Amino acid sequence: MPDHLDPDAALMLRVKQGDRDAFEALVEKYKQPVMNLAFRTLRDASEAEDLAQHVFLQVYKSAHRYEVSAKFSTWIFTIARNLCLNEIRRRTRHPADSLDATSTEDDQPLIQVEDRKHFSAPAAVLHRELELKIEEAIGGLPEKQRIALLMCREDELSYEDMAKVLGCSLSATKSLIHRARETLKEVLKPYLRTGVWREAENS
Amino acid sequence: MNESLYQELREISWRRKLTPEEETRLQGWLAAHGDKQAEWELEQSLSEQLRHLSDAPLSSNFASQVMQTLDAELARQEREGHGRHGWLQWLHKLAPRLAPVSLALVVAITAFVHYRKSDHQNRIINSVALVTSSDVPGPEILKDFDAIEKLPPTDEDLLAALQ
Repeated sequence: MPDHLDPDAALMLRVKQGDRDAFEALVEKYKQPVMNLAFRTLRDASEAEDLAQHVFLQVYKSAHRYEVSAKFSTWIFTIARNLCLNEIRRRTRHPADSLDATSTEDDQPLIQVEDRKHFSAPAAVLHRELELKIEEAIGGLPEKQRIALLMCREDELSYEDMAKVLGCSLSATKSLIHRARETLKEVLKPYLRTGVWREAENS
Repeated sequence: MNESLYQELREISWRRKLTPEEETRLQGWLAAHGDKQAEWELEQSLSEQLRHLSDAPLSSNFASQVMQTLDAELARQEREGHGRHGWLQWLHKLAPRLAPVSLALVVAITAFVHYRKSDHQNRIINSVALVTSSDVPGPEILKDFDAIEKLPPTDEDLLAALQ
């Protein structure tokens, strides 16, 4: 085993040999990033959690195919991205299945996001409102742009890794992120310009 | 610093906050390109907002749920595997006992098929021999066939007198 082996790859080698503890360690480490991607792609917490579970089951079942040369984070995000796209395609074929996830009233939040930061009451309300606007704007992006933008938040992935996950060139990946950001800037311009976010953060 | 370096710093800022050194270089460039200042502020504001997005809600027992589902899946696969392997094991145990019976059956079937085949051949040979050995009249006898056919019925009295 090479000295410079990625710690996750080392865990995966143990998973290949049937080590459940190693698998559990990987689940613990990647559950939140995978869930974030699934949740913001599918926009339904329950479905996203089911999908995230499938991602990890797929990781375990496909462990024998894992090549040490591949970065684990790239591999797992590729699985997550493929399952997300499959789910979106399934929804397109059977639109009635996902009515619950999309039908909302104007005054109802599209999604429920746990607020883990502590804000004072008005700041928390403001923060919540802003976050919902961003979530809505991200939800409105084309799938590939959305996935590219969300992966951009993951420290584990470099631009090159993201390109591998998305199956496109480095420049195409950056272009996807650029276009996603341009759309978000356009949609969120009133909030971005007023700096209301920063006020909420600082209060 | 040129436009491409600005672009590079912009792409870095999509992923993380710029280091103080990078920030200084950028500010120096922006001072000379006032038209880019507003664009940069917008970029930064968006990056901040994206960085501060909350994590998606996740069950506190997510990992244990995954492990449970995995266990159930593995148990199911094992059961299915046992089903297939159990049948094979049963066959493997019976094989020594079944072997002589199977051999006898194969020999019997082969003998029967051979018998049927030779019997069929004998029948054909006998039929050919019968046809060739029988006294078939020549074609010249048939030339009077019509005349014989027109003869009146047999005269019983004449036949009796001749006898």
